[in-house]
Amino acid sequence: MRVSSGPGRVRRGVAVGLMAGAALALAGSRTASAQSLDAGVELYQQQAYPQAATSLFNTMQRSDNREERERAQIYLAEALRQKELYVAAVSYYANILKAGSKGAHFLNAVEGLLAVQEALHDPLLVPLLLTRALDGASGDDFPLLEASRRAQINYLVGDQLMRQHKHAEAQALLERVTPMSPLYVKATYLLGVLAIRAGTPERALDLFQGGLAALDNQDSQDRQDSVDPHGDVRNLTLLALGRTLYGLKRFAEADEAYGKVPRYSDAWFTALSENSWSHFQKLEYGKTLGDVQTLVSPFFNKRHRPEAYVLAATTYFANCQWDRVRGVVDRYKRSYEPLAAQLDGYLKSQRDPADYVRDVALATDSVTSSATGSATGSASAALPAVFARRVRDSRRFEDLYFVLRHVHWERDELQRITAWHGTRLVDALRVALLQYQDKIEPAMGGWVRTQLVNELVTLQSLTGQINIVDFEVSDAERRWLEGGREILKGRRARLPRPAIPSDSWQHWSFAREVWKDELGAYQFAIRTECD
Amino acid sequence: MELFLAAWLASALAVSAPEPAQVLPPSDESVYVVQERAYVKRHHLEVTPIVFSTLNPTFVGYTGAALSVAYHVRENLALELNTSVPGLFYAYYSDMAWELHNFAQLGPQDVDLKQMDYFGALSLQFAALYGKLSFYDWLLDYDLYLSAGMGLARTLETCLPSQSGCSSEIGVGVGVRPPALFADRNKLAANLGLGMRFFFNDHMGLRLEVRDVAYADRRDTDAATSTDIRNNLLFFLGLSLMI
Repeated sequence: MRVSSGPGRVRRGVAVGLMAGAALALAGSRTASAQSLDAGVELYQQQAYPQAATSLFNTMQRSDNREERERAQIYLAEALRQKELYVAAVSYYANILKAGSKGAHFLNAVEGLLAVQEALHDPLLVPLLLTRALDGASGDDFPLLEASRRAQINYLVGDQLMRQHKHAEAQALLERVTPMSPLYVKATYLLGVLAIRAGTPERALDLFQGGLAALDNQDSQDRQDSVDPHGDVRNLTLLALGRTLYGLKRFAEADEAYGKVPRYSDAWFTALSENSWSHFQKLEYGKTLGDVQTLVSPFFNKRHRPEAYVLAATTYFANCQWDRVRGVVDRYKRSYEPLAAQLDGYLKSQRDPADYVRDVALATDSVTSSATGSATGSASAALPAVFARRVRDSRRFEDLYFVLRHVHWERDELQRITAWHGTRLVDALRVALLQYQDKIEPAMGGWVRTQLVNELVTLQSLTGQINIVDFEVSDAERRWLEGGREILKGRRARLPRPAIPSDSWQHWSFAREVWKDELGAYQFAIRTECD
Repeated sequence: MELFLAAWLASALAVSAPEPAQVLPPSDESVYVVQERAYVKRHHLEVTPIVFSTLNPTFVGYTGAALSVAYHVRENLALELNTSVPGLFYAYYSDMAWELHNFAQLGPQDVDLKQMDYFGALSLQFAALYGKLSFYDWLLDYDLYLSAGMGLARTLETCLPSQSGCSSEIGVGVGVRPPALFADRNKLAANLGLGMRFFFNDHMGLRLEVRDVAYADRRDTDAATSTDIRNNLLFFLGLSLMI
């Protein structure tokens, strides 16, 4: 039986159990169910997993012996996992966990679940099961498990507890993830977030910087790639560092942190967007508007960027360029007020939770709407693609949706395994998968709806801000007129180029065409017109 | 899956408010791009093996190899030493020289048939303009430079083949030999060039240049003395290695 990925102590324990079973069998009084179990195990060892699963399932159903049933169950879970029927396997692992940590196969089940979690990138099922089953214990309470598995438990359960706002318990577990674990940097990131929630940003800074240093200090590129293959953790940590420094009003350092996020990476848009506020706070209005110019460029056409317009309007307002404020405000209102109304309409119409998932998953640039429910075919109920993308591109949605699609795939796979046709096993697995689907879809649908509501609230907040700017500019224009000042501006003269640090830098003229390599390098020459 | 397909089809009929597409700034905004140079030349040595050829030679053309070493004092200013490679320098008479010789029984002045067999110069390069080319995601940075300097050019004079130290005939009925006078053999040459340098990465680039190697030349014979300002317009193609 291959229960763990390596020859760990858990495996030896199982081997001893198997030998004891074999000795009992040789002793003579073999029951039919014991013979069925032996046959199942033998088939498993011959890697005939579908046949093994049928035999083991029959043993589970027929045996009066609890020990036999438990052994059959763990082998069955393993056989299903070998066939990549991960979600189906989870149901049997979960049964073993329910028997408690004293159970003979508890650790095998934990190992199997951790392997499933890795394969599915499952952020929900396995972490929830482990959180419940461990009931306050940590991975370190299971010394028979490999160190990497113990760290995985501490990270997954810590993450889960953090989402449940059990901060102290989460911190205790996350702090147990050692620097040797590939999950160390992720755990450090979460600890940083916990420090922010606890109102200790300086500690959060130390943690984020420590996480980045740990990534840099990996003893080889291969190791670094295994810890953070796509640079996502590094970029997320850099964003968190920038945000924390911004919150501490250390704008120059925030600018530096944001600037380290690689160009064209997934996190780059967010880094540019947030760093534009650092530039604004540093009164670097030319850079602020340059950032905005990048954010509204075609490269980011699929991104949601109302905040860029709010910032542009605010920057022009700070420089008393009323006509330009008006231009930006008008553009915002033309684009985002209908978008907010459409999202509001979508959220107000009744839907099943699964519809939210489906709408988000299937949204295209032309549009999406629910296939079912009162919203069907109604333009007012369409989900704007930009919001669908916002939700869909999040890691959590990707992971949850992958699990959901895997459930569908497993249901189809059950039909394809001819050895199972007409068996009770396939019926049981189908029921188990449907039950999981019924759990995941509402949970995911609820989560998606919450994200969409948050999007609406954010957009409404930004619309409120743009309305304030609109009001303020009207008021300012009135005061100027009363003071006899001219508010209408003609065409402005071209202003000199911004300074450059050395001749290793160069200027290019912006000829109203976008070059990809110039994104993020725009600077406006802007002069205050307040005097 | 069918349900998903149905949802997608249904969605195609609906209409959604779009996110605004690209917005250009007002035309009277002063917008610049401020970028760190893709490739830094300052305080780097640029070594360039070169192949060259004469552009549109009147009577005498040249082809061969040269070597240039340039030290970049600044991004736009470099001091360059270049030299032709002895042994890899080939002179030839142009079609016009052959046609005059073969069909018209005419010949240009003797000075026009003299051949250069070496050039070298110390020059200043000033990169006044820079630019970039984009081909899909492949971006090529270049700069345009002017080069001016002084150097040395060595010439061979024409003579009757295989007589008085003259070589065998090399074409158009003449042979060549080094002039007896040092000043006639070695000329102070002005170098004036216009070039373009492309960079592929931090260490490698391509250099194209048109250079005029000009010097005053003369040919004294018993019958007459002919003089000329020789403008040798050479095209350089080099592979730049930045060190």
